[in-house]
Amino acid sequence: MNPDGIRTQAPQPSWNTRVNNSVASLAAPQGDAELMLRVRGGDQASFGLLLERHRGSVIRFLDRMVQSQAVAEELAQEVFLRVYKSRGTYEPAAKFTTWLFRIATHLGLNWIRDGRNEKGQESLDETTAEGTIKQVPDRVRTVEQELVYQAKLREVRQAIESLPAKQRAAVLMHKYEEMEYSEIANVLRCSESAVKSLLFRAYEHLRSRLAHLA
Amino acid sequence: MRALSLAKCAIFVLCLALGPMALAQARRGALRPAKTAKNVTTPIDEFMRMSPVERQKALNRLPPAQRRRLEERLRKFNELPVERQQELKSMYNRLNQLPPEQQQVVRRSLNQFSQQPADRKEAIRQELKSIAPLSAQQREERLASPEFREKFSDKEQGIIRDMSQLLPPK
Amino acid sequence: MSCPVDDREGAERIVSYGAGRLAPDEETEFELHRRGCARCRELAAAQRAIWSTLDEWPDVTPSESFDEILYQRIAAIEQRAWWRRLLPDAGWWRPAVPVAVACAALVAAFLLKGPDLNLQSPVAAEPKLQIEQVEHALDDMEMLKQLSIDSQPNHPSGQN
Repeated sequence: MNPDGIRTQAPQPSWNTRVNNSVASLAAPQGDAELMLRVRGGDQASFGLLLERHRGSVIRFLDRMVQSQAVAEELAQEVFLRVYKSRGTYEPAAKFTTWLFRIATHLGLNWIRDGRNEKGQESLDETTAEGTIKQVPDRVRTVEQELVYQAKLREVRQAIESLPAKQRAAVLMHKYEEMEYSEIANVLRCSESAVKSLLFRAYEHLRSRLAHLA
Repeated sequence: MRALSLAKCAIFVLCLALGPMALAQARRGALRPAKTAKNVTTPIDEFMRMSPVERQKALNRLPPAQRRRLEERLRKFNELPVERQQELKSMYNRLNQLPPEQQQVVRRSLNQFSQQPADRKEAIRQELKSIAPLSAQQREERLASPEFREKFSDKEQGIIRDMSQLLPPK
Repeated sequence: MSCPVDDREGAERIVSYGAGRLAPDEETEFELHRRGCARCRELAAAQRAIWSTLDEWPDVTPSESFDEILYQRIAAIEQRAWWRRLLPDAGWWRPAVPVAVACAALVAAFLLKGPDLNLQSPVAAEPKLQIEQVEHALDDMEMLKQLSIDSQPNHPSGQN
């Protein structure tokens, strides 16, 4: 008991629920839209929660789009900055992830279109070299297995990079973010049938380029 | 017209001159406005703005049981409606802006309040709500009034008087 | 069922099959068709193989400083926004800018040289938050929760 009896006395009920040690347990169970509305109301902690929830997927998506983690993180920063700057006028008209990926796709497509591919190509090689360090798999491979794996990975990356930008975005959202056609259509602002067409052509191209790896 | 333009120019120069100081102030505040502003952030806000890695590091300094309890408390706080969180933060900041000895007095009163029976707590709460919209002078008059003294015991009067310092200034 | 390979819509069904995302009844229907259709068998196998190959591309891990850098950028934006609000709307001030900048530089040099404004990285300059401060803040908040002065009356025990 504190000498002046101030802090140590707990007038509150005892907490009955034990939580696990994961920091994720600090995230309130609210949906994204509700959190974003709180951000609109000035609650910056909710922005932190949204960042924690979606940072990974945005960076992953952009990394595969532009094939450079450094660029992907810069673009991802820009995505969240735009989310933050728009907080005052946010309305939950669409799913939050749709909006988020719309911004991310827009920035990714712009980056590709603006002809930074030459730099990207160099960074692709650098990142591949870096990537092998950062992305060391858990299981242990022999040297030969590792070389084969890295060669395969390089081919996959190059195959994705060879896709037209919009097909690339559609495949990445479909394959790696497991988005439904309807959501991809909302992100790309086109019809579902247009998305299916994009994906059909993209996978056809990938099958022809990567069949020998299967 | 010329004088007005010169005056505007002077104001502009002054603003630019004060810029570096404001820059330092704003940068120190990061996402936080200056401490004298209305919506001062709390240690809880600062904690939630830390990266997950930093938060985990900070939590790991605590013994496991204490860490789990803190996580649960934070979770419950974050689950409160935004308005309620803001209300609590405002009162918290008003408390922490008091001189240290006054803070002790108010915290002691809060402790005493917590020990009151439920019906007396409610009566005290209602009294505080009713004086919240009053000006400082009106609050003083109310707290000195015979009706107030009849309604509340000496201890309760002390509690109300102390906790009135947490009310928003009018 | 007509052969999905023959039409675009059907071919896309094969993509969904390869992704394991067909509805159960559609999957059953396609499996039945596949047994008798070599083209679909081949295409479905190729699509599943591609799916598995694409799985080899691991996810990147965001860098540890990502959040910190983002918050610094947000702080910089808010500081710029605050600054812009001080500028008047009209452009009459533009001619005064060189003079103003020179005066500001002189004053800033004086101010910076005087008191130590510590304009280093804001993160380095800030005192580190102690976890105990968070605990104490929660202690206060939990006690203050009993009051519920500004909002509707709580449960009589003051608990939320």
